[in-house]
Amino acid sequence: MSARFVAGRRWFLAAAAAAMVSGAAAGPPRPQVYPERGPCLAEAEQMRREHHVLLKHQRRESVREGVRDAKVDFNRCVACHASPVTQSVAAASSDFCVGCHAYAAVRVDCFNCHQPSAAALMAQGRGGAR
Amino acid sequence: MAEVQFWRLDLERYDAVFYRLLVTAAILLVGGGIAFFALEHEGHAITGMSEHVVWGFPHVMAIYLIVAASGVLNVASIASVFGKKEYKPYAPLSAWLSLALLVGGLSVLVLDLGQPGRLTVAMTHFNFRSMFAWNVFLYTGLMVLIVGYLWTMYDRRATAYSTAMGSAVFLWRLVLTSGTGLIFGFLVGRDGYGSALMAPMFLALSFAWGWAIFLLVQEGIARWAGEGQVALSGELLSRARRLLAIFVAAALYFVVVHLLTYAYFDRHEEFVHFIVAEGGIYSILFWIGFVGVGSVFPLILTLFQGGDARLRTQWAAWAVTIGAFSFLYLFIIGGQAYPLQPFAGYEVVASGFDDGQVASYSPRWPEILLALGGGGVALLIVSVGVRVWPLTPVLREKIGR
Amino acid sequence: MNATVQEREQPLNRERRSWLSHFAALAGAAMVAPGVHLLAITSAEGAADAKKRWGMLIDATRCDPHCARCVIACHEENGLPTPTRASDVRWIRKVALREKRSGREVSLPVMCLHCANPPCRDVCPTGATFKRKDGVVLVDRHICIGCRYCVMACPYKARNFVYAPVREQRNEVPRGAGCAEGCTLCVHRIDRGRLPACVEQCPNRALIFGDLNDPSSELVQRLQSISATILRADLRLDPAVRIHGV
Ligand code: HEC
Ligand code: HEC
Ligand code: HEC
Repeated sequence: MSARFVAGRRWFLAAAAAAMVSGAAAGPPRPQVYPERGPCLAEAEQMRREHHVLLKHQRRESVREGVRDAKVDFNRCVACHASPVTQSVAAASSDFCVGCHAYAAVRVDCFNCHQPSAAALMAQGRGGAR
Repeated sequence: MAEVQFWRLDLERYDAVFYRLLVTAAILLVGGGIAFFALEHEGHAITGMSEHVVWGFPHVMAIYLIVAASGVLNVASIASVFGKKEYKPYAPLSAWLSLALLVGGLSVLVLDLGQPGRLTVAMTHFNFRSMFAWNVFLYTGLMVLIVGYLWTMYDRRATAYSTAMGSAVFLWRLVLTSGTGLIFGFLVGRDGYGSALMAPMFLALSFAWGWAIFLLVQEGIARWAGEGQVALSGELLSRARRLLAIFVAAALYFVVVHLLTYAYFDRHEEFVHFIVAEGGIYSILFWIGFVGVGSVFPLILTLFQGGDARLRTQWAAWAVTIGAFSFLYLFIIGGQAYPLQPFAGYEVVASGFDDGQVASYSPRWPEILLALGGGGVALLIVSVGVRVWPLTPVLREKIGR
Repeated sequence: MNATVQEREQPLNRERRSWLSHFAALAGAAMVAPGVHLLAITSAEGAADAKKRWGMLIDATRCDPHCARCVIACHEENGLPTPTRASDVRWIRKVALREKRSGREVSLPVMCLHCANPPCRDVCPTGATFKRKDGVVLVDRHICIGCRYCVMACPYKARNFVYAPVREQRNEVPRGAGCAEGCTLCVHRIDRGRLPACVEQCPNRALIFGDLNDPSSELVQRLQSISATILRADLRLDPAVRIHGV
């Protein structure tokens, strides 16, 4: 709870600071996306704002209730958002889940446990939309 | 009789000592910090802990500090709950020292967690079947109570509540130390633990260890401050020494009773045999560390007369403290090193997980530094507190105003 | 918030969940762009079924002392490194035992026994260790703080602590340093109707997996025809994994 509060505040501060320094320039980074792999779960604007809520809700459902292959499955994000270069969502600073968080000063520990690489998923033909 | 007042330590003359204490504490804290960041970065793999011994040296230190923290409060309790006025001047130091030890112990426990960053989770998710969850409340509750207790000692408007507050602290910490003992008492699966006697045993141990550390700190402060500082002396000193003897004897008694009742249960006979005879380092720690140095030696020192009484008391207190660490090491590490016995009636011929074998453990630098860091926290809190707040009693007559 | 209470009191849990989702729906409708809350509140029925109780029979009389296929299968399936140090995890291990009276030797694998009254769950301060509705004992590693009290509490040495940072985890089996873990009965497989990896790979059919509540299952039928041992029966933990031949 408090972590998110702090994160939210930092996001605000970072945005404010960026706005002050560079005037109207920049804004949050626009990560590379691959629409040819299929559409996201929702509009980009909503995903940007809500993805962590979805993920945290889903992990409860999956871990406690055994919900499998859900829409918000972590590996689906990984498969669809992995960069073609690193095959990962969190290997390089330009990878999907990294840039925004660095910008917003959010610390996300998910990849201590969740595999950010889609290499194995691709090998099983599970990349992209299912 | 000279009037006793609480006073800060005499600042000008004794600054050198203060800064030496601060530097010592800072070194310990830096060491603990380095260890913590190493653990964050490399995981607990760099410690000597393993799948067999998951609680290691940090836990020995943390539990010592927490158990002693509870016992230290006896000084204040004797003054306010049992109405022994002569201990009253020492009550503030006793409460402050308790707070310092508690914070030191808890910081080691928290920093040793696999996920120290999830402290907020620990504070918001509770499983009330778990002794640990209860301890979160017991520890934070004690801290709050101690602060309140200190307030009743200083604020004239609050002195009326002093006895009530003192009783609350007294009862609370009885529960707290029982709770610490029951962390192990409820571990039914392991032969070394799982006994209701752990609660009173830890209480007795806390009385002895807390009294000893109080005598050491009080004497240290008396030397630091030199003349004018009320050192325990004369009648009060010999009474304090006799109390130490009683507490040490009670602790030894409970440990022996615990082991005896344990041996009566068939399954645990072998464990008791392990601790007292075949456990190698653990048996040595038991006989020489706990029984010899930690119990018999201080009993001799405290019960017999002659020589420098102050010095003898100091020796006894040091010996009790060494005995405390010996006991906790053999209790916590030895209890885990002794193999689990899930296969009744069978012996293990081979195992992919070292079943049936006594596990080995030797602490490595990260966990030692982390543990010492907890000592550093306590040292820092005590030194600063004593220096900036009037925690110690001073004879008004001698100091003048 | 309080996972354990929810887990223990199922009816309450469901009530609260629906209440919460109404609230979430309202809040969502009020504050969030339409569409998103629909995702957030879909409270799908999971594979965990309260009518089932997953269990296993380890038939030591069929276990080959020279075979460790179950162990290898487990490590491969769950992306566990090959254990070399005392600080490496073993969700499953082979043990060879000799009966003290007769001298008879047996070999068998041992893993988490998924107790009905798991001591690891009882001691877990945050409720991270929980028993799923279908009896599988798991660690919710999103709220595990790494205190290792569960490792201390398990009488079977079936709980592990992850000491070294993990890089090679499989996508299906997230795991990482600083948390407790143990055999999951391959929940990610059984929820999709597959057998646990060790059971599937055993060449001698020494491992039988099934629903203890289903009288027609092979597991229950076997359990009725043989005498199965319960390890540390004195503790009355009622494990779901039973053993034959020890
Ligand atoms: C089938 C492919 C696919 C899957 C699965 C998927 N996404 Fe997306 N995602 C996209 C696409 C395409 C976009 C860009 C949409 C747009 O720009 O309109 C996108 C956009 C996003 C954005 C906004 C990025 C921006 O432009 O600022 C976020 C955040 C996001 N996704 C997170 C997730 C998360 C978290 C998951 C897993 C729960 C996930 N996505 C699953 C395809 C996918
Ligand atoms: C468009 C930028 C953007 C992208 C892309 C993005 N995030 Fe985020 N993420 C954010 C922001 C901003 C926050 C902070 C939101 C808040 O706290 O309100 C956040 C927060 C989170 C949080 C919650 C952190 C916490 O502990 O409170 C998680 C989890 C998360 N993101 C996961 C992901 C994952 C996984 C991906 C890749 C699939 C991803 N995000 C991609 C911007 C992004
Ligand atoms: C300490 C390890 C660990 C960390 C850190 C972690 N997870 Fe998990 N996560 C797991 C495990 C273990 C599972 C259970 C997988 C299963 O049951 O198959 C899981 C399952 C999930 C699931 C449901 C299963 C799936 O694949 O969709 C989601 C969603 C999820 N985690 C999201 C997150 C998010 C978001 C974060 C970061 C804020 C995170 N996790 C951090 C270990 C972790």
